[in-house]
Amino acid sequence: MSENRNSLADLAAGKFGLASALARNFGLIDVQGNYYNGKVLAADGYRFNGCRFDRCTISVGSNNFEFVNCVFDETTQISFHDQAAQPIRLFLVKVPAEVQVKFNNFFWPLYQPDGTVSVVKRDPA
Amino acid sequence: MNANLTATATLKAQIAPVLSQVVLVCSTAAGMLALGLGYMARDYPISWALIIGGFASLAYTVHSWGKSHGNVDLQNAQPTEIDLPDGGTFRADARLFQSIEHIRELGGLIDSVFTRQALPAPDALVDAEMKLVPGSQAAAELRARKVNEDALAQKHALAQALGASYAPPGVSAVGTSDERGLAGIAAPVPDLHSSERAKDEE
Repeated sequence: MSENRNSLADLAAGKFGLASALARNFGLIDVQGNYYNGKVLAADGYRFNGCRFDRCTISVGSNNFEFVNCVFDETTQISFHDQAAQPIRLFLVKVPAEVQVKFNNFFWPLYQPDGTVSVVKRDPA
Repeated sequence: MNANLTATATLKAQIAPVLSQVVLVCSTAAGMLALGLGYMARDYPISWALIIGGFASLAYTVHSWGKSHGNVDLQNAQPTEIDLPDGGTFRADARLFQSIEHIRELGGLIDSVFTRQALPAPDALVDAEMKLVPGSQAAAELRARKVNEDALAQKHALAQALGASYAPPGVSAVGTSDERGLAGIAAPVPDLHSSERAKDEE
């Protein structure tokens, strides 16, 4: 605790790289070997290692999470926040339409009548 | 959209500048006064003492100005208060944010640490083959409690490190389904290989 305090005091004073020290002190928290059944959980800030998810709903609101060697059953759902969905929408711009339709329309880029494409944040329907 | 998971937080800041650079102004005035008196009394030996004293006072002004904190005008500033998605509150002094770079990085840190939500209790542990370990529910809950304690400790540690305070929400989420923060839609995991499997089955 005191080490964190000292290092961050230095950080605040701009004495060395803020980002690297922050990552060192306050990185992802490891979750090891857990089994979740029918649970709702937010993945942001965690690194799930060797975990199994059955009938769960996993929400993500950023890219600040990791799943390592995990198992998701077919009924487990991923709930994407708008901010997390934006890169997927942009990715789908370059994906053939027959593949795009396999994704929920929440992730579809918006094709305009004039032939342009929009990748914009939007509230879930 | 559920705003809880949105990477935004409300900011309430009140800044009241008082006691601004009083010492620097006084030393500057004293230096100028001593130089003026020294000039007027230049026919007397004491003028050298006044002139030297005046320059010394001005030098002290320059030295102090260089050492003084850039945000000295924020003395007595009210803490910046950030309402967090989990119901907690993060309070920090506005003078912490000294540059755009600091604001950006600290913003990212606050986003990752303070918006991290407690995990629900797992139902069991799994082994390396992803098979349930019989009778492991208690151990799994214990492990989850440790994870949630670590997450809470990070919030407190970061707040303390920044000279701020963090007030957690009243109820621990261990063992509960804390749905706050869920947003977007519940989309099935995309199965991009289903068409290939269908072809194989044919």
